[in-house]
Amino acid sequence: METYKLTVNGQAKEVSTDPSTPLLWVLREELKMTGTKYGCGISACGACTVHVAGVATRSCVVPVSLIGDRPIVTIEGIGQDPVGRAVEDAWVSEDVVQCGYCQSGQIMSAVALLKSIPKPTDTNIEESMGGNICRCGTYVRIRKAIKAASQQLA
Amino acid sequence: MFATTIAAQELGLSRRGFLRVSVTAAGGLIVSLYLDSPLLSQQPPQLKVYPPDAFVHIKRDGMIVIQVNRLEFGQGVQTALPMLLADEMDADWSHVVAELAPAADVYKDPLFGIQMVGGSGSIAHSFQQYRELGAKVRAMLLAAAVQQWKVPTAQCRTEASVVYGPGGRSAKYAELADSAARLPVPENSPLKRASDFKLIGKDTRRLDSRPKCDGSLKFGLDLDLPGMKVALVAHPPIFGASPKSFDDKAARSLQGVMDVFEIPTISRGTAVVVVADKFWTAKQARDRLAINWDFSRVESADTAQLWAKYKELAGTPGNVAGSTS
Repeated sequence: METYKLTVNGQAKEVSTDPSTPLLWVLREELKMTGTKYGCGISACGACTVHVAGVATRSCVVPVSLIGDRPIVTIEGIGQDPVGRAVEDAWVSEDVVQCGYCQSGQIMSAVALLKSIPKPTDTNIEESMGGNICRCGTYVRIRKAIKAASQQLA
Repeated sequence: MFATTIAAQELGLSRRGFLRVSVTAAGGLIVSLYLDSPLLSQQPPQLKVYPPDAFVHIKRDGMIVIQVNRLEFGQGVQTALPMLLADEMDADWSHVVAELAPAADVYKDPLFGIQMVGGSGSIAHSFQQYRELGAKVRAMLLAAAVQQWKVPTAQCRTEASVVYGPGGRSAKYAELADSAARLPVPENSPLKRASDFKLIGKDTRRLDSRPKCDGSLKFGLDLDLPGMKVALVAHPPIFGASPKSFDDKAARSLQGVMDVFEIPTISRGTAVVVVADKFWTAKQARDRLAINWDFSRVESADTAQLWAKYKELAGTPGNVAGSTS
């Protein structure tokens, strides 16, 4: 067991856990922040995507011991960011979600995309969202919502 | 109210169900559907803000909370069932909130007699029930306005959570809810003609989008109860396989592991379960199980065997499916 000081959504947190524990389970079980979802556990589906120092990161495969002092932002906090808010609003107005299980990860990836490419092309969207799987098949609406958010922010 | 079905009769449920209304402690109208059944308690439930068997709650602020007796998992039932009720009720859709109903007899599927979702039956089985509930609530709100204004019912109409009467009278549903709750529940309330639907068949947008976009919606995996443990299953790699033997010493040596034991699988095999304090402990423990699987009783059919079987069957007399003469 080790103790780690983390910054999650701007708040200082302290957790004591096994160093190998993935960030996902620190968020979900230690900090009781269940908005970030467990899908595959092997970085193959994107449901667990969070931002670590602004980079979209699969939290299911990143041990808490590697986080260091990098700030973490999750789906619970991304709405406080102007880009995050625009993406969430676009997701609602485009009626993107179905079951919703993958959408926390989809939104976190979309926000990271729009922060690096404010006006993404279809190719940009496909390349950067390709690692986020949606079994309901909401991809067409996801693309529309990303473009709507991009326009909203322009 | 309830369709007669074999399933319902087998459960001892009679055909009759009836509505009961009550004023809640917090104010507002609650309409519940009670089953007239020897299996169920005939005692009215304790009044609280959300009694488990309430379908509709008109709150003082005008919000209309509708209980959904099916699990939403992307098929849209969390929106579709409230649409049925809200349409007949002439509710203001922008003020409708859907809630997942708790487990209770009153939320059982009217046809299957159990609380369930599946078989693409949610709308088909609940279409009548939710519309009738909405029509009865509307009739009671209308009656409350008629009583208050002392005007003929025929001169009143409802639209978007408001009752309108002659001489420019109007009253919001939220204002009428308390007096409506004291009125008898009508036995029959006519349902709308399809041409009068305002919500049914229209694009209304999902009611559950926002909580699915900000991480606040609780999924099954997000359930957290005091002292809850996590169990992970080491499934047999082939249907029907069972452990010949397994070594759980390494798994049990991890701090936080409570137990390791075998359970039967639905394919008549056996799996090994690890129970621990947290997911990551259980995952590490499961990874440390050394299981020696016994495949001697697994399904052994392969393509070659199946073709051989088909060929053999093709040479035998079959059943006559039809005849032209």
